[in-house]
Amino acid sequence: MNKVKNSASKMMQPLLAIVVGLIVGAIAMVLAGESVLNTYHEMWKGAFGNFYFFTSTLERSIPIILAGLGVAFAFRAGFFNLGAEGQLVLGAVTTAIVVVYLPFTGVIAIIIAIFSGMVIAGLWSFFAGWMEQRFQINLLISTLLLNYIAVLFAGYLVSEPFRDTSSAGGVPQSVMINDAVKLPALFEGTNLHMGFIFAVVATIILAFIIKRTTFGYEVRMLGQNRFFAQYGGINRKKVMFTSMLISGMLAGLGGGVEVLGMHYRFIEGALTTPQFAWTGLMAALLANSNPIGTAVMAIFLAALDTGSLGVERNTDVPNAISDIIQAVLIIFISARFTFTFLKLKKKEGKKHGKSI
Amino acid sequence: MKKTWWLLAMGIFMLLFAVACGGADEPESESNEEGSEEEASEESKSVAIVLTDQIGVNPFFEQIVTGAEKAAEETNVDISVIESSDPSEVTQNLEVAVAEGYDLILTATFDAVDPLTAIAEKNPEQQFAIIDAVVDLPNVKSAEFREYEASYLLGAAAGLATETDTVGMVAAMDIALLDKYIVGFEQGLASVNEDAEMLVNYVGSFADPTKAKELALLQNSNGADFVAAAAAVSDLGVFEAASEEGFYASGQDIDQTVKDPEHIVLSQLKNTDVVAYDFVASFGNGEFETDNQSFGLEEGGVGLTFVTADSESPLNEFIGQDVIDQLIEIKDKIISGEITVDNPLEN
Repeated sequence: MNKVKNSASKMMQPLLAIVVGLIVGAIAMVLAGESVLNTYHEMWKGAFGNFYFFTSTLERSIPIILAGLGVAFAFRAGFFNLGAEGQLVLGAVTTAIVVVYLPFTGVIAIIIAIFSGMVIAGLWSFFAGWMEQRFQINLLISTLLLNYIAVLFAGYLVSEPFRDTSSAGGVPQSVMINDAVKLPALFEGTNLHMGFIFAVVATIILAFIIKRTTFGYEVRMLGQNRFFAQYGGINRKKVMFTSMLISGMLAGLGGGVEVLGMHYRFIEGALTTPQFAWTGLMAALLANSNPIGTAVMAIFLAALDTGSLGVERNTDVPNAISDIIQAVLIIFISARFTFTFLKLKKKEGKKHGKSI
Repeated sequence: MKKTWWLLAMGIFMLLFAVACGGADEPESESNEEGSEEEASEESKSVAIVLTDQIGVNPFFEQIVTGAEKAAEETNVDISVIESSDPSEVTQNLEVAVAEGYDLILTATFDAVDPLTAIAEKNPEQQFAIIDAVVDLPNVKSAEFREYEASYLLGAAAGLATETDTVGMVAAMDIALLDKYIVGFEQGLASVNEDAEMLVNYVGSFADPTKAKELALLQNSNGADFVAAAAAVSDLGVFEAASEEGFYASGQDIDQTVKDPEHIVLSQLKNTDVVAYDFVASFGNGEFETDNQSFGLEEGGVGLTFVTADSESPLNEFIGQDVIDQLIEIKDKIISGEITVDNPLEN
């Protein structure tokens, strides 16, 4: 009974966050002078209204799912990886450059390019873990700050050495990739590409690893109680390094497939302005780091984005509506964290009180 | 295990919720939409304007919309403005605009070049137009600007007016496109004042007034008494710095001098409204041709306040009528070809 209650209350908070987010969105719609029902109807149609919109929503969710899975996995082990953005961008830029300079094209080139992107992104995340282990540099801070280095370095790569000089001016970008290495679309006439299959497979594998393997057990134990886990003989260092590596690789995969499936080149800012990584983080937090939940939440958040385009096209409400709703979600999620933190502190205080 | 079920249940609940919300008035609005679409195709042509960023306070987009709306009213064309906020959204908006059967799809800036090229190739029957970038396809009309001609004038103005022989420019990003502003300015400055030094700093964003303000203050502390802002929305920061520290600045795109004539003494004009008006009006009149047009000083596509266009605000003493007279001469020489301003993108 207690268990049910417990998980019910766990679910309540994200659900409440979403409901309040939608209510605040409704207020914004009223302020913009539009009917709320009609606007949400347009949002629904813009996200799932027909096959094209549905696939567009799924396409947009690909990098969000993968970045979210990365965050969720590290979080399960008790490590807060805020570096998904940098890892995503590094994965994307590596894939974009490698695929252009490989002497051959085709499936093998795609695999090599995506894999190298994943490795670089994984190592980037691993580096933060190593610094924590070696120099006690707080993971939260280092992963966050490494984002700037990664994003600006990727920007440099496509502004200087790997810049596409064939197009005059404009944004810095790498050379357009060959047709033979583009990820094929799943359905004719849509933007949804093979990357979605990767995202679904990654979700299932991750769910399996966490639930059914020894390593997953170690990860969960470490996340729940570090000292107990270490006492029970779990090697924290090993688990941390592995989970950070996997976490970064997932984000890197997200960047890589976005390049090969959607933009066909690395464009500076194309992966950071849509806030894919942060939306992924939000999905992971909303879903309590459950892999399947993260994927569902990522699709929901992507639907907010694509839906707001429908709102933009057909009503007077601007597409910033999805930003408003997501901002409310962020406030709620951070409020939840503060609450648990305060509760923990209170508990500790009481314990000490008793023992004295 | 339980958590998974909860999540799934929640996901399904949300879907149902959304369906319920949407389902209620579906038939009605659906029929409405079809009705209005049919009416539209019978009565007037429709134009979709797909912008690559949110309009906000960006004068560049504001102008395009104003110009297009004016033309639409005069020639009885229906227009709808669609904002996007990142490259994938631009692609989606363009594709949807094609699917929804607009007669002309107008877009702008270099951000739209990639998606437009792909979509225009896929839809050879659809007519497109792009402002401030060139897409060389038979079904796309392009308009580019020769901003460097106006920048040359602005640079010359700065060179003639400066008392410290140091002028600054706060540019948005270190990209080739902005050389159209920087190189022209440099050339104009050097042509009238050999001793003048030019400071250039990059904001790194088109919409970061705070950083732009710091850069303007920095340039001022390094001796610049005139700072040209060339960073779209970030310009607002330069203006704020100028009014706080009491130096002079210039704006971009529209006549910014009206904001603060004491400190914003000039404005380099880029009349995207003229072009947007021209495109939509010619389309409404049935004279639309897909070609590449270039707008410079001669065509009135670019300019400088007080030199090529009057301003509501009074001329600041820092510039003075003398300088303006000389600038008008320079302008005439550029138009007649006596002075050639290099296109920085062609080297």
